[in-house]
Amino acid sequence: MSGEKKTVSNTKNKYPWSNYTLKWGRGEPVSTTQYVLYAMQIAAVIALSYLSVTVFGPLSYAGISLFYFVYPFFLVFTMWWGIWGPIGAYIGCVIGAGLLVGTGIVPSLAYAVSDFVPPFFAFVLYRGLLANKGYDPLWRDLTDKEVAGVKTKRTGAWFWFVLINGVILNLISGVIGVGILWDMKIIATNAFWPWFIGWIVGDLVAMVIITPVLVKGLTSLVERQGLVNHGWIT
Amino acid sequence: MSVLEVNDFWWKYRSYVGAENPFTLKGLSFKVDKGEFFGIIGPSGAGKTTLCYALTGIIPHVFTVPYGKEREHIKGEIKLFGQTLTKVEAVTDEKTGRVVDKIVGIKQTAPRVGLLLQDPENQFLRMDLLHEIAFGMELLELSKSEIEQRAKEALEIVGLGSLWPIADLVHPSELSGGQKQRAAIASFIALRPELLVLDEPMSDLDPEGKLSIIKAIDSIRDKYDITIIVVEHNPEVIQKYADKVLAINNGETIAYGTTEKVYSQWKLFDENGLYASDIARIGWQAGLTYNGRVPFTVDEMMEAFNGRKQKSLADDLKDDPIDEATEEIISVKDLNFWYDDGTHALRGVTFAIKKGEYVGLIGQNGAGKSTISKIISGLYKKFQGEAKVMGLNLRDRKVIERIPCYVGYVFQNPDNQIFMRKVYDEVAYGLKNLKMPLQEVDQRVKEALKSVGLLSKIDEDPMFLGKGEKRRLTVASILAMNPKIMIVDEPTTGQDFRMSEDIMNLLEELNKAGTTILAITHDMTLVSEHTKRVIVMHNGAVTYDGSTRGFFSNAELLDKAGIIPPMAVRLSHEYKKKNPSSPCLMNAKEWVAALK
Amino acid sequence: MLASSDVEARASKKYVRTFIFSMRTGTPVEKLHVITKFFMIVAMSILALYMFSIPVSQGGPDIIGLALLLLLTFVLLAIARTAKYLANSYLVLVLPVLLGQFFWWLFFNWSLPGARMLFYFWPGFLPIGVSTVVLVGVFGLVYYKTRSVVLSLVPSILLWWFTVMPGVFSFSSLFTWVRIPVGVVFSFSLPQWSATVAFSKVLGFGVLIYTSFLFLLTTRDTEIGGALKQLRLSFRKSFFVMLMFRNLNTILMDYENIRSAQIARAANVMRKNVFSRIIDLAYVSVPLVATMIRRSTEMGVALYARGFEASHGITDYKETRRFSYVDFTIIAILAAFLIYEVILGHSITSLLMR
Repeated sequence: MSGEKKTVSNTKNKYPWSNYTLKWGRGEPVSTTQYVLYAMQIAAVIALSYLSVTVFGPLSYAGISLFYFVYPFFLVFTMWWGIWGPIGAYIGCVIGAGLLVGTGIVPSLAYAVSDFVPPFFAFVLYRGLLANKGYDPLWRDLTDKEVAGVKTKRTGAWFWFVLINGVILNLISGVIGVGILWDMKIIATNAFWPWFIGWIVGDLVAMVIITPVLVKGLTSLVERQGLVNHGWIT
Repeated sequence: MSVLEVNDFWWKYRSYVGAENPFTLKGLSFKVDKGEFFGIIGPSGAGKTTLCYALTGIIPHVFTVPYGKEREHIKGEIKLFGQTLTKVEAVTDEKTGRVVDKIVGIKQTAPRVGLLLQDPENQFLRMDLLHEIAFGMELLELSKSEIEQRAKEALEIVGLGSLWPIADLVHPSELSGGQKQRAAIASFIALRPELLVLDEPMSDLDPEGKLSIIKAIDSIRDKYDITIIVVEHNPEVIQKYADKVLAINNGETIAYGTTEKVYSQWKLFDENGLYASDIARIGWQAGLTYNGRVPFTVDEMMEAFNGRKQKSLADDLKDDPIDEATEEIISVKDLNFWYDDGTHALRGVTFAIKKGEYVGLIGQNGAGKSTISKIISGLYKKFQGEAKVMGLNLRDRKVIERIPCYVGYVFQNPDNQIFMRKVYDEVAYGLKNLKMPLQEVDQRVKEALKSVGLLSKIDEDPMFLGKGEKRRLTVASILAMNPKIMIVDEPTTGQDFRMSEDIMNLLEELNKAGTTILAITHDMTLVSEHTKRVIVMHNGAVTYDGSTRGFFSNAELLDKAGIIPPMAVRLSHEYKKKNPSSPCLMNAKEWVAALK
Repeated sequence: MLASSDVEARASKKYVRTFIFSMRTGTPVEKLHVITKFFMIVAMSILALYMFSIPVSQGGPDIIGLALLLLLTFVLLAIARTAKYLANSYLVLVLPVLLGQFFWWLFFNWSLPGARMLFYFWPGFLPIGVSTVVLVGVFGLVYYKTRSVVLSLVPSILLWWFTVMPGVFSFSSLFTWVRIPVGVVFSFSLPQWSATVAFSKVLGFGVLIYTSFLFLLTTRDTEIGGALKQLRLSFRKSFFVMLMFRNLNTILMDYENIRSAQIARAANVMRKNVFSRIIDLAYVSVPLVATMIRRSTEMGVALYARGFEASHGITDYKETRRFSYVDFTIIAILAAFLIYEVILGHSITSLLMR
């Protein structure tokens, strides 16, 4: 009968971002330049984590800043560089938002997990699921009407972006981070909610404002240099 | 015996998105013999750094080519020590039995070949001096005693022997740029290379740093019979040391041969924007020769004069001093400044700059030039003493907030000042910060871009502009804000001759239009050609403040400040020994006028 | 063996760069192995966390134990001759943080058992006394620094209110000399234990903060590489870690330069709302990441030029340090302390109070 739907069995190259997957890489080893870049981006996240906490000085403690502006940085770095992003987020939190501002080593090592989780799962969700639904895992569809000639779904992109990163993963991160600090008796017994709300709101505001600037300003530069990871490692 | 043989070599960088890149190196052919000092010259963007990468194996092992497209990116051959370094050959794949193109050649050139890059910061890889020197040897798995002996020797050779006892305690941040470069040279010397390639090793250094690098290179060449290849804009270095020179532009050879042969071609230099040194320019334009060619050194020029005398130019040498009645636009009195680590950076600095002056601020690294400039531009606030700009007191917080409206600061590194991804937006950035109406922003942006010759690039991405264009863009970004005072930090560093001239002419035009210019620079040629007044700083204090000619005339002052004057001035000093009444001529233009 | 002139030269280098600032060479703390220092801060961290978390039902926080830990930390900082740097830079940051934590734990810990004490949102009168001195003093100090009335009023009124709130201050003739009746009384009560717990947090956070600084002020980045080798991490992985630290300083320097360039482009001239200031911060990322990419390319080239890619191993040349008996002694003492407090559940305060 006519009108039978023709299914497209292979959607591999349907989108310009189809090369960006959840595989390890593309079979090439990590080059020395990439090796240095990953180390440098971790150093950058450490520096920015430190600045995120100290900029607001006495209003923040235990690595919680009213405005943790490094959050969108390590999210975007993860989208570009795979697992190196969450690793940088974790180390950045331990050293930059932890040791360098005086949070003890033990609390830092524990609650830094809250910075590892959001970028890790964002990478999985975008490359593993949303990329095949027409959403750019490099988030260019937040700012551009088309990517490599393909029209983007901006409204949908923003919806998923805020829902996944701003709400779901942010809440999980807040529960883990504030929860660990509360459980360690670093945050006052009845102060969980003010700190939790501060964490969530601060990260959400930073993410919504800064991510588009990073994406628009830098993704094309990174891609043009051949430095976007095809997979987790390289 | 040839150490390097380059035969019709072509190279194209791979493109990851968008259109293919054009060829960066186009059919280069030359030879470098053992023990030679080989110079490579060319304007910015000519492909000199790319050539250095190709000669050391970095191309194609760090900058790789896509599989299956080898012949599209590489043509020709490079041979190193008689063996193939880079070449594309058809080989039979062992697994598939098919004939495929493969890049063949030496995969790792270290330790026989060393490469020194331009930026000292990016090649200091370890956390202390000792391990930096030892790094290459550690990777070769040499014994500890061997490493120790070679490291100590290498530090002595580059003039850092005094740091040996504390080498493991010296952090990279405690070393100057010149010291870091010497440390990098030492790290290669310790590997006993046979070939050392240096890519503009002195461009980021102060005069003392430059001299120390030259001395280090010269001593290793003698001691170890190392073949040296140097990419350098400064013709003095090439003319003094190089046996052969390769001049390239747009990836192609424009001249190749002995130093004498290449530097005799005046037209070549003029057409390609290459810098030929004051002495050579004087020789060409005044028709003076030495042994049948243009003179290269002061001594050669003195012989070339052969009785020819200068005209009396005393009346023509107008230094145009600023009218005493002109108001002061910058005034600092007894200024002291300490950094957080306790360094006393400024010690009682006092000077005043009048409206419309063009002043050179010179001195070695660490003299306090950048510190004083940052105080004047409101970036540093905690100072002792008095500082005023346009009569406004820089102690007032409200004044400091508004200082960018009056003082434009162009930083040394353009990469640190480009915030936007479109040239238009970049220039508009500062204006939008001032909340100007959009119509006015548009008008000012276009005027500023026009004045720096970048109007045609208004929609381009600044990240992908050439070096000189980026520099002009940063000037335009400040220009658009219409500052009364412009402070430019090392405006010609890393620029070729033509670009440097363009920038300096632009600043001169701005000065003529009424902008007060304060140029921080190590380039004495620039100072002698464009500034009327210099302020010399040494160790946080002002050691001279007066006319440029007065400064360059005084050999004792020059020596005290550690300043090496431009060749034209050195020629004047030499000439004065035989003709005491002759004035101090500061640049090639004045000399040519005096000799015609 | 170094020649005597070399020994003199070495002795003349009094300070070496550490993670933050510098430390005096030749001090006992400098000679400790980095693993010992790391164990020290981990142990003291665990001890502090444990000591200030002891529930009221089990005797409450170990105040004396915490005070001893804090004293030990300051002694170590003094031995390492780092106090000057700490005082210059971190004091302004740390004291308000500790004060802030005191008030968080005082007012947000209301479910403790035991007797309660009275606090006043408003005591029903305007007190003239120590609180007034605090008001005027803080206002004057902040105004001197900032020249802004609004910026001076906020902390001065806040601190004034904190001295009015506790009933023991506002109703004491020692602290309040005159009472001018104004408004109605508005009071609330807090557990008496909350002040003790809050004070224990200040001591405990002090230990956490200053032990972190102790580590950072007395550890050189090179020591980390050596320690990783001793822990049998491959040389490429330990070099990767060292690259991170090597670039940390460079990136902070780049950030400062970029911020300066932004300010030079009038980023701070006009009043901007919070969102505009946040966007300014975001714009810093463009040159920062561009510089990062350029640096990593050049460093990759520099590594190749040293023979990094083709190497398989690396000589251990003055990278590792041996453990000394002092290291083992310190580890043993701290381990014993940990066992006593955390595992056996004892408290020094309880021990001394018996």
